[in-house]
Amino acid sequence: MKIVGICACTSGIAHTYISREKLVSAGQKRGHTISIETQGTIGTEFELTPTEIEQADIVILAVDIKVSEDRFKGKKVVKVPTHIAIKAANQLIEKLEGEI
Amino acid sequence: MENKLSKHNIHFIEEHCNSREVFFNLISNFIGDKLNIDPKRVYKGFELREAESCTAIGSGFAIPHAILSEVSESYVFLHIVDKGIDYGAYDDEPVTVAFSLIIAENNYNEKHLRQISSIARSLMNEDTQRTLKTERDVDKLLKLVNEMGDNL
Repeated sequence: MKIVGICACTSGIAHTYISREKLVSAGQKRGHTISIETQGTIGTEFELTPTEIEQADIVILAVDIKVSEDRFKGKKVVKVPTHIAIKAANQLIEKLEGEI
Repeated sequence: MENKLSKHNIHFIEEHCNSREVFFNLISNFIGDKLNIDPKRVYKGFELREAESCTAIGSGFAIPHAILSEVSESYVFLHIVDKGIDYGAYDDEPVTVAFSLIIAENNYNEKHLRQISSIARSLMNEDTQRTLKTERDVDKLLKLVNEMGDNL
């Protein structure tokens, strides 16, 4: 499965990046291709490419703040707070598998 | 470089902290003393962030942070406790290692924030976690943390 997503926490300093690490590692562990963009105080990193988004089967947003979802029009989007991604990344990936 | 962690920012705690509040009190006093700011403000900053969601990230680690207007730079402190703290972590694992972040409200130094995010990312590495939990030599800890911050 191809997964794309965004992580963004309220202060955009630490947990944005922790949740990305957890999601990427959980996704890879279950054999998926996963690309996660971070939107932090220092700006956007690991930016998703239009091709990645185009090819994605599902979009995961682990966000505590509002992020633009314009790029994901027509895609299945699952949204959770960052602490869920940190707490239960594996279960979250399994849930995504069940969504498509 | 001044942004990097110095020996003075490493804090070994022998007192038993039987709650997160006791721990925050101790580290707020430590930080207040180092940065010459009111520890009560530091404490309140930590609590404010904690109220949003718990900053423990599992496996015995936490990253509490406070955004303060009275500092003009951002700082990282490493706190290592002898006895694990009941921090309210999702995995119920008592916290023994915490990186606390004091973030300048009005001066986002991009390079420093990149180092902080790099430390957060590196903290997910299992070898790094093991070393942080067992290493007690200040110089070696310092070297490790500064490498964590360089993993950009």
